[in-house]
Amino acid sequence: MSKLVLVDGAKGHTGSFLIKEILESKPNWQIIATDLPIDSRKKLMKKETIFSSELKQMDEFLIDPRVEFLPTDLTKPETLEALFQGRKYDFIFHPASLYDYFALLDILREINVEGIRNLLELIIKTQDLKKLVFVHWSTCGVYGEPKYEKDLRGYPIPADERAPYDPPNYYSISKMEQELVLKEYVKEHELKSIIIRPAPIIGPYQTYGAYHILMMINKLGFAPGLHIYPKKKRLAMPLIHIEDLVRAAVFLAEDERAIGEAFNLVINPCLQEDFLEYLGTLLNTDYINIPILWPLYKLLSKILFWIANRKEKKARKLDSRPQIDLSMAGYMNHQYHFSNEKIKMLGFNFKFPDYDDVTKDTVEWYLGNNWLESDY
Amino acid sequence: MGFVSSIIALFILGWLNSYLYRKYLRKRNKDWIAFLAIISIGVFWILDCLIYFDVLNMTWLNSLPWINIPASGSGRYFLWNSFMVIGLHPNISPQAGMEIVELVLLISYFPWYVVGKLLGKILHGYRTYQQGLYWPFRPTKTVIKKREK
Repeated sequence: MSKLVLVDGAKGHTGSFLIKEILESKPNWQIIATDLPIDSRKKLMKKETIFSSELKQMDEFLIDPRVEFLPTDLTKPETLEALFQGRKYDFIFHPASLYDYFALLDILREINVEGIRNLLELIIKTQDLKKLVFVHWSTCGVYGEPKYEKDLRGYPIPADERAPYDPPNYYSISKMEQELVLKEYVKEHELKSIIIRPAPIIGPYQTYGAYHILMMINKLGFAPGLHIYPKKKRLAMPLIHIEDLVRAAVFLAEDERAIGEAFNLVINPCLQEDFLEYLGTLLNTDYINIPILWPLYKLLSKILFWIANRKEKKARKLDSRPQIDLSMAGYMNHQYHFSNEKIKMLGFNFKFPDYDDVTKDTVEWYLGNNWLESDY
Repeated sequence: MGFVSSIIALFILGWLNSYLYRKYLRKRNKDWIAFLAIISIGVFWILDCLIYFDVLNMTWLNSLPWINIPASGSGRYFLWNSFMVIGLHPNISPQAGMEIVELVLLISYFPWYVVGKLLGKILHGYRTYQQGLYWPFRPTKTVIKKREK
């Protein structure tokens, strides 16, 4: 059956993969794609070219006859009106956000929080709310580090979607506020919505986020495998492959049972040390196994976090950016362990369910396309 | 030259060589890392053996006022007390049976060089595009300059 869908953030990493997924799997869907005009986007998305000007997003799908691209700005409601004139959407996918850990809270609020408010305001006025499903992109970061329940051996049990909000950084705060705005509209106008909370996204064409881990290990020349003792303190590595993320979004949009629910999107539980060891192998770097006691690890990570904090302050002063954004350094000393059982219960099958599938696909793409330096 | 001073020198040389290799030599010839190891360890082994067997007579250092190397067994004595050149004189007299310790120390030049090289690899990287542990700690101004390039 023919459907009309709106995808915002269409030139971003997630948006472009979402359009590709729809074009490939839904031959009857028509897509209205939107993003910032080129100049504004370049100005705002400094993170996309800060580490290499050769990195680019995948936007060749925008010229497909089933896709109509309309440039808009979420912070300017008047530009959004063109999206809704004479159109009744079946699905609206809202991945558009400023995902930048270096951005200050004011700009994040302006784009992410006020942006969704502007969008929802127009949706309420122009769309058929009985038909429309609004799929909103949030983040697992809204949970921060939840208080985990423990199994009989004292190991943490992955947190599910009922964990309370406790965002640890500006970006996650803005995503939490986005969710709250959406919930307000859902309550008042009975808007059908689905919230997806992806773990750090990994996959081809990524220029920011988990990409940094690949870039860092490649630059370091070795993967530091800190084996924490006691074992129950070992840190998890939450990830989601971009293809699974967009497949899940389309899957959920079509499933009535998902309406009004939130879903974590994360691979099966994996430890940082296993991920790093495998990454080291794929990147042809050494893997250094360092056993360390938890209190010592905490101390070390706090020192590194302090250094990262100083570097961020210095970079701001010099109008630049640090090599690693401070919030990313936070992954060193926080346990982010989330469950993907809820979406699996609905029948969703991950194409890349484990860390090795995700990592292999991504690293091979990066090396094959020379996005990571290598001798070959 | 000297048993302990050679170990320290080779450790530092291993570190330095791994840096030179990554920065300048690897792009010309990947075998440079082996050449550097052979040259560095070989030079130290040959010189120390020549001193040990008194082929190289180190008593010429006695011209320095704070050095006193005995005429007989001067090579072995110097190898045990080489720090006297910088004023540290432990005055170790080589005894019978110490040859085994001397042999072990001489053989250990190689692993100490390798340890230095590995440390250099971690701190500076191994391939031309790698920067090792130095990468995340580079000064912000250096990062900015590189980005501007």
